Amino acid sequence: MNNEEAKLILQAYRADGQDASDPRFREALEQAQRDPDLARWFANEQTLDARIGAKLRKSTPVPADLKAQLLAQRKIVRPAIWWQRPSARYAMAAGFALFATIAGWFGFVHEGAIEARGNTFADYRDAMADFTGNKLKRLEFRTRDVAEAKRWLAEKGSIAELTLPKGLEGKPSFGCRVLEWQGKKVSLVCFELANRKVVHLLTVDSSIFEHAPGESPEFKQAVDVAMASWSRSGKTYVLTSKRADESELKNLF
Amino acid sequence: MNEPDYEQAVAAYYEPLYAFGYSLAGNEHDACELTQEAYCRLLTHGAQLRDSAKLKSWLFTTLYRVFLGWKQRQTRLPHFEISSVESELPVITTDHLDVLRDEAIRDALLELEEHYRTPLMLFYLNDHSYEEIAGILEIPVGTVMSRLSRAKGLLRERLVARAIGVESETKILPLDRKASAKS
Repeated sequence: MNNEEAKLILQAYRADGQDASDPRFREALEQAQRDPDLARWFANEQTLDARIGAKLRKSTPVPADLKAQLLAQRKIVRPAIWWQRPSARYAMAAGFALFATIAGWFGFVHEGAIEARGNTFADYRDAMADFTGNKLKRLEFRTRDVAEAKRWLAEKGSIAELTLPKGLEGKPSFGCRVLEWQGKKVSLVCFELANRKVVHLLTVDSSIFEHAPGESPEFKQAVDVAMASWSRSGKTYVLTSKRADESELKNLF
Repeated sequence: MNEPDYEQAVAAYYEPLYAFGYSLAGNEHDACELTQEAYCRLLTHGAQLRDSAKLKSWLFTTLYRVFLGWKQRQTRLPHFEISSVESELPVITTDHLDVLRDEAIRDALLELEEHYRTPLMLFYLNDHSYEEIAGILEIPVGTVMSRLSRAKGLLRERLVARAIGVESETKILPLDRKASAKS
């Protein structure tokens, strides 16, 4: 084994010494003990790896609520041991068929139905802010392309003709889904800003509100969600973000 | 999987899983969803996991497969080659690292092509041997070693460039960022 071969192997050696007993590294480690140049290179390599690894691990803070969400999903996902039983599979299939039929009769699926506390625009805006800030778990259609998201929304019979604020034009999407507010469909499209912050755009028919907001955007900063709302061409828009603050939303207009 | 086992699995691995998800997807939203999906599959398919010692690798492998599934649905775009200018940069030292914020290191990693970025992130998460990385990514051990070596070199070039203020004009972007970069 020459030094280049030894280096290739030793680059896979973890800086915390977990691989010390792995026979695959033995020959390369022995060579490093014999060769001072290789030993210096290896020591430097380990130092750099330890520093880079530590910085990388610190660089991605885990969202504060992720652990709680993971623990909570156990309550809504049934363990495999239950549904993997053949008898349970038949029962589930029958149940699903019944559910699909009932959902079809009513023309909607309850998952995206937002609870109504009242029927004013403020009730709608606050409920949407709460949903996108704290309850939104998954999108129904994932895409980076806003045009694709619009096509999907149109296929679902939801509002697809959106007039975006200047700052959102050309921004990539995460995807979209259809929500429901008092029997009306609400189009939700999620965008990624340049600083990796996420904003949610909700669009609904203005006619459902007695007093819809005007054309000039109105901003509101709740405890943990920033909001902007405005109306244009018979549609009412609400923009929300948990990570971006009110001033960042203002910059989008 | 019973409740204490599931809670233990969450406590033990959700942070490195999230970090791995972030390194693949490049954003918090998708990293959360990848992590949630991996644990969701643990709940629904966990009975297939007969050896609890393999739970860690199972979770990382599952998260990676979910990501690959997402990626298959995206349009493949041509990637850009790294600028040759970077090969003229000085060798990295700990002094270079000291001047860099933690986020700058993460962002430099996210610029690497996925087949370099993924094994390198698993390596730096510290819990994965090269054999485990080979298992998760379903590639030979020799390939893991050569990709780790090349990935470290590429990452360090980018870190030096950032530390001395010479950023390459041509960057390799993760797949899901290329569309936005082109627009």
